[in-house]
Amino acid sequence: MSGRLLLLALVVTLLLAACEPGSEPADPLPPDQYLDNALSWLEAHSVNTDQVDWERVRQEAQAMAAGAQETADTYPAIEYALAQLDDPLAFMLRPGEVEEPVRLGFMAVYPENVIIRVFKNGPAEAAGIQVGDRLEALNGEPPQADSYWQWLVKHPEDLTADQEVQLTLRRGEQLRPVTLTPAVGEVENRAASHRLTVGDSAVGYLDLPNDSGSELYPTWAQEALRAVDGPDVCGWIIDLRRNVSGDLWSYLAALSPFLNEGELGGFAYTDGAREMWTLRDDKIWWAEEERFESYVRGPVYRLEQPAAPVAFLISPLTQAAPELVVVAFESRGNYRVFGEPSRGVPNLLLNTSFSDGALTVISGARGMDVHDRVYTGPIMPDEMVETDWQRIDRAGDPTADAPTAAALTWLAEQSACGS
Amino acid sequence: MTMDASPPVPQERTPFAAGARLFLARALWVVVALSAVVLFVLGLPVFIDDLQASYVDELGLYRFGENGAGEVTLIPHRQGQATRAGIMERDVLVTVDGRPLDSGLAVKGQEAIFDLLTEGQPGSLVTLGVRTGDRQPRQVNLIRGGAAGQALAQLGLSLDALIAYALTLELLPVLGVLGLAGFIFWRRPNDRAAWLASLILIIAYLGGMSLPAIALYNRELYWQYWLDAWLSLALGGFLLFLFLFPSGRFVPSWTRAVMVIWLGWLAVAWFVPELYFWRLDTPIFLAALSSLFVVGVAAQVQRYRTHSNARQKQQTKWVVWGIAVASIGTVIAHYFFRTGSAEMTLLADLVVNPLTRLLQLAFPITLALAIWRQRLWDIDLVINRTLVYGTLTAVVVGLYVVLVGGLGALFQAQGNLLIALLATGVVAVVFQPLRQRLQRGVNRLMYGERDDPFAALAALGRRLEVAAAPEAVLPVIAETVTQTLRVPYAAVVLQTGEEAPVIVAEAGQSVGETVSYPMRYQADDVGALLVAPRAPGEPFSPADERLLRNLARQGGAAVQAVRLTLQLRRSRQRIVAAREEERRRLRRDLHDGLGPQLASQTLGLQAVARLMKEDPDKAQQLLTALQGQAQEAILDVRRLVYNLRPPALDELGLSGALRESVHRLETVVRFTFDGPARLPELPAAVEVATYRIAQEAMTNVVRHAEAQRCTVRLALEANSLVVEISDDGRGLPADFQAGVGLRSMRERAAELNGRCQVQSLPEGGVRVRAVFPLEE
Repeated sequence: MSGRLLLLALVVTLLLAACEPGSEPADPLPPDQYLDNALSWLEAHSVNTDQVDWERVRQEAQAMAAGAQETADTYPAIEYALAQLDDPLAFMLRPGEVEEPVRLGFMAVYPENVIIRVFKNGPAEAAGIQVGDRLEALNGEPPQADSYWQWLVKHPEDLTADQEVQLTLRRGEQLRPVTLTPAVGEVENRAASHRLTVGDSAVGYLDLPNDSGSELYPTWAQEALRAVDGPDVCGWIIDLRRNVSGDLWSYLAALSPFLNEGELGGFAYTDGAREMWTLRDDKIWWAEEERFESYVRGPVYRLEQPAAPVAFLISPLTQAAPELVVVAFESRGNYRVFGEPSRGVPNLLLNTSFSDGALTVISGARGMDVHDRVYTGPIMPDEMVETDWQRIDRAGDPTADAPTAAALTWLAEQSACGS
Repeated sequence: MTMDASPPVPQERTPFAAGARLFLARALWVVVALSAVVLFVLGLPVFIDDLQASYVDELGLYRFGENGAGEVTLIPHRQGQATRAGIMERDVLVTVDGRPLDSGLAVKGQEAIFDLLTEGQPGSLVTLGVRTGDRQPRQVNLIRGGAAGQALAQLGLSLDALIAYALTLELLPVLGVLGLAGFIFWRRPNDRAAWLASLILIIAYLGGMSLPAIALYNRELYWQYWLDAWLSLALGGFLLFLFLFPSGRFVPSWTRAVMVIWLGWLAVAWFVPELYFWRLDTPIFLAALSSLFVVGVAAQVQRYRTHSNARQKQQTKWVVWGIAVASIGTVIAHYFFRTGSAEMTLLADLVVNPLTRLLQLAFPITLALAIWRQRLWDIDLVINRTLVYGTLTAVVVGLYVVLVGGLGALFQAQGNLLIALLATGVVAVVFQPLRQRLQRGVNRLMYGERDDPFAALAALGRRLEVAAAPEAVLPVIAETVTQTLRVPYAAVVLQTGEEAPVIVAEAGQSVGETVSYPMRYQADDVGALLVAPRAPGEPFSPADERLLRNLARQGGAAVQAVRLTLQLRRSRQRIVAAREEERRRLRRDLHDGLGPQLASQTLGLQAVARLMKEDPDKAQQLLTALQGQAQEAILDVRRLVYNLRPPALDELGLSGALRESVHRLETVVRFTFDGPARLPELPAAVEVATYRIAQEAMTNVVRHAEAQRCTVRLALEANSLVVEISDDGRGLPADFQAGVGLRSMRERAAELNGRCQVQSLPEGGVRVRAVFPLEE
């Protein structure tokens, strides 16, 4: 290459590198327009929009945000409007909050105050906390919270990574003080499975924990299926009792070995739009969109008996996505639901970002099964069986858990299991 | 004699056993190669799609939906430009650049809507009318392609041009590598190392390193499953290759252990995918990748130092160089994949990718040439340029960064175009002188002083001045050549008349073939400069050639001096030896012949004296016998004298003596003599030499020539005496070699400053011509 040509190339490259525009993010909208957009969005998409007096809410919100200098000054007004939706799934994350969650590594249920899940490699596991332990005190006071905690306290901002938390736990008659240091990062929500025996046959038990779209969730779930499946497996128990919403597409992909190709269910929006969920080419589609959460590493697992009867276990904690999982099984049939009524919001968590990065989530559409039936309330169990949270996950004695026992009884009666 | 190449190094081949194993190996090759091609082809559309997406589709819109009324709705990316501009989930798209949307557009699908929005060059504005619920529509401006699109527009490049550029960059190397690998496979199907090498080329360059395969890897989890295995194969094979090349055996022995560790790692990673290199955190991944390359190259370096023969050293030199360069390219590429920000997209596509691709190609090129020609045309040029431009790039980038940073800090302005222009200007001004200086430095490092002939010649002159004796000059020449040109071996060969050329001076270690440059003095070939190329078969560049010819020419005079000195010394020795030989012969003749004869005559004469009285008859008899003996003695003396100087010369003169010789020899051959009747007075030595040369030549004609006629001509020409003996016989044989007779003829002539030539005549026969210069 001649020197002159080289020089030319060099000059072009350097100028190019210098002129690369900084691509500054555009200025967020002015506060009044920002608030107006946000309110319009809530009004347009909330499933409960008909129950809200929007003229009044708009006036009150605008009054609250009067004189706002920047978009952050309108957040209380938006949160006020969100509260008016009467939507247990609705919340707003301010720009800084959409970050890595801080966790203690356990899940508890209120008002029973029982530890119902301890996550692998988390602070709680390291401190020796076990499922079934009863939470007596939190930082010296009796626990007061929502119906469950994944983060122990309601908002992650109440918990920081360097702030220790004092717990008092009761196991049997023993009281035990425990100090936990919260850890940053996602927890590993792997589906777990084991085999139960029913006469000469076996039943596969699959615990499907909640997860918000981890890349390998469906792969792990199918590995759990593969681990217990066999020619002698005549039915399945799928436990959704501790699944407190999350990513529907991950769940459907995880359970795709049970499902038939084709439409599984759908969303019904307030504006009349319908968007179907479909199983096609071993992937889950939302309307015409192939969902990346549904990809399985390697080939999809094929069950020995894909049409075997399925028993779902649900609880009042079963909320949103796991409720929709049960709705999707209407496309398959041969299933039965055990436990207590679910939380009652089988909805799409519709979210949007606003121009400054704040994130808002509402119930944006209702679940709908393949028979065009729209779900507006709890999934009602076919057999009401109460869950005693202190009796779940009993190694060696699965029937100690009443819903499991009921499900096993039903499965044993099914023709697949020899009856 | 080292003119011919040293015995060829036995080729280390590691063939497959023939039959089933060979067939299996070939079949496996074909299957893997085909899979690689399929992978690459599948990745191409994804790659183009991604490229397009990063320039045009980048509106910050994820996809489109449809509301209950059949209108098009927008699904924006969470942090894209659409969200920042105020577009929210499921907002309705009403107008594009003021035009209402066609009814039913939503039904036509994603592509149709994207086409509508992205119709236009990257960097241009598109104005969307959007509506939330039933509220009034509002206007939102978006930039097609975002920041990257804007930058592309500023450069005046169209998207099609960019895609064509990127595609060319992907396809050309891949086609090249495919062709190369296929060719190696085809030419050396039975060589295990070649089989592995060609296969790894394909796996790595169509699989692990190609952007389409990486695009595929990032697009679908399903492919990751296979691509993880594929990448393991590529990296493992790559390592294996470095451990086996070129002999096909694990050298050094620790490489076997490393391979086992690697296999173990892969076996674990197969079950715990998080352990795959490329799934680790970026710094760990880059460190692991780099160490892998370093280990491989280290194995090759150790092999080079301790295990390789000369030819293998040449092969590995290339390949290790190529691999080191390709490794650096790969690490840079991955660094950019992992850490390159969105703003860097254009820079990556225009500059970084082509650069890394180029670097990565160093391996296949050097490998192919090393494997199958066992040499490379001018790899030193490649090494040379890499050094020059590598250093140049580092210096220029450093200078630029310092300037922009420094000026920016000085003027409290970041990203100012003026500062960038200023810095670019400074860099542009220093670029050319810097390049030249670097090139000279690198050249001196690699080629010695080739680029500076004056320096080389001056060095030679300096050394020659110091050398005292003429013989000491030649080693100095050889040494100067090896040192100034960085060649492994140089020698000076002397041409000493009729004998075969002799090596008289050497420097360095002979490695086989050499190139010969003639050394001349006054149009005579006096010798040659033999120079070994830097690598076997690697020709010298024109610059080297010029310098070597120059050096050879300069050395010609010195060689001539040495040659003359040698000739003089040899001639002196011969003269002394001839004189001693002559004396010994005379002594022998006198002592063994004449001496005993005279002694016996003395005894006879004593007897005669005794018998004179007692038996006069017997005394008379004895006297008669003694008379005969005395006559014999006189004959002996005559013969002795003749040998010293033929008496005929004194009796008949040179012409007469020659004429008499001609008559005496004339039997089968018809001799004619042609010469002047009278000659001026000639030096006795010239007469003897002429006479003896003529006699020797005539005797040769009678003995060997099978001639009919022979003419002896004697003449005075231009103050020289010329004698020519020409015959019409069979001429000199093809494999003619000078015997004792001919050599003595030449020496006789040379002793008297004359010349003697023997040559075949074109019409047949031989002519011997001796010329003696006569003094005034």
